[in-house]
Amino acid sequence: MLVRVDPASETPLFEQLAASIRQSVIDKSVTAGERLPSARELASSLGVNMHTVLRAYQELRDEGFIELRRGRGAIVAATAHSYDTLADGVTAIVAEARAQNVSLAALTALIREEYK
Amino acid sequence: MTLPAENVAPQLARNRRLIIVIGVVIPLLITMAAAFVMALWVPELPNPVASHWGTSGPDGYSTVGSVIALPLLLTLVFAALAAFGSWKGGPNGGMLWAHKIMVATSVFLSISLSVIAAGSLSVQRGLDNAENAPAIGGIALAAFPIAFVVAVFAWLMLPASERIQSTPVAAKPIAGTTTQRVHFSSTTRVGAGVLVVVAVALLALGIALGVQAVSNPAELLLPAVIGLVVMALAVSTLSWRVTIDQRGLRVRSAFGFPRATIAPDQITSVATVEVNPIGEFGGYGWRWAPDGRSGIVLSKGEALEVTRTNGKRFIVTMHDAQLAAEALATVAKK
Repeated sequence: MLVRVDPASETPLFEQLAASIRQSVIDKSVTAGERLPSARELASSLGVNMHTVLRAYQELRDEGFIELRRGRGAIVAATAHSYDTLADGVTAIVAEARAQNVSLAALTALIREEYK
Repeated sequence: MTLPAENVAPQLARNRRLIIVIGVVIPLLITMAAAFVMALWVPELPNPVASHWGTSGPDGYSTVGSVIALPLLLTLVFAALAAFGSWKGGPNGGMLWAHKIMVATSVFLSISLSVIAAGSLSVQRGLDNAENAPAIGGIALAAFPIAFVVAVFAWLMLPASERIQSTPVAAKPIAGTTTQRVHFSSTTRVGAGVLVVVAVALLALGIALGVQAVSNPAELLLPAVIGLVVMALAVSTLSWRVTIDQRGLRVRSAFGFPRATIAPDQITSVATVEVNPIGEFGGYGWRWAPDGRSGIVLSKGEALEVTRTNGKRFIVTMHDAQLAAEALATVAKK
């Protein structure tokens, strides 16, 4: 699993962390049941605050990507279903949006509206 | 101009001849000669003969026949193993380093076993009772260096080992800003085949310790300590945690020992490479290759290769070696 953060970026660090780990689950570089590094370990490894990592982990738990267990740390959730079909759909939608010169902001607004 | 037939014979056929002569025929001739000499001594030997020595003289007895037959039997089994194991040759028709080791070991085994068996019988010639047999520690000590020297000669008679090392592909750092930080972590472990072999070997070791515990509990402590340390190390090194971050590359076995760290400023270059565990490293685990490389060799295929500033190369086999190499190249800024 590869986690990348850039402290100079405007995106909050916990969001960058969550996005990186979410991507690892989706592209299967971590699999269901695999243990993620502890928050303390990941924080010292990346030179960020432990609470930043915990916040990212909590967000991923709320999204159903990981399970947080006391004493056992973060584990990739067995319920983290396959994103293959979804990823294919997203690829198709993004290609369509590009072809019609629809901006990312407009596309996300459309998706958000549909999801309500 | 035609070359002599010997020089144009395919390399593989020539190597197979060497395997048969050095790895099978010579070891069997040595053990048969020893068996013949021992057979001539039978009328002068006590029955049964001493076959095992403790700290205070002989403590195990068996028939003369089994002492004569054992080196023959073991040599036959190992010579067959060495011949089968090295018969195919390397991918280019040469002999791999591991093949040469097996053939030379066949020689080593036949000589050491024959010398020890013949030596243990020779000191019992003319005795009425095997209980009076003198100690044979000196013979056992002499057998190994003699066998080793001959095995080295056998090794030298074999062709140079074939190099099957693949060319390392240098890894590029991950594209991104200079302020980015990366963390890579992964677990790498041995495959199912190796796991079965290790399980069988550990089971055999466990049974051997169990037998020792029942038959000779007084001398159990040392074998038990060594056996348990070997077992713990073997189990621990089946699975490794690999971490790459701004502190460099860290590898840690399942129980936390052994482990190793390479700091970013010790790294000259990072690459991925294809690895053949048996052919290049002679097996699995934390390994040293004859070409000076060392590393965690758990599976055939992709591996991360780190060249250190002192010129030494360290490798770790893993399924996501490409990603690991890119992460480490980013950290090392190479």
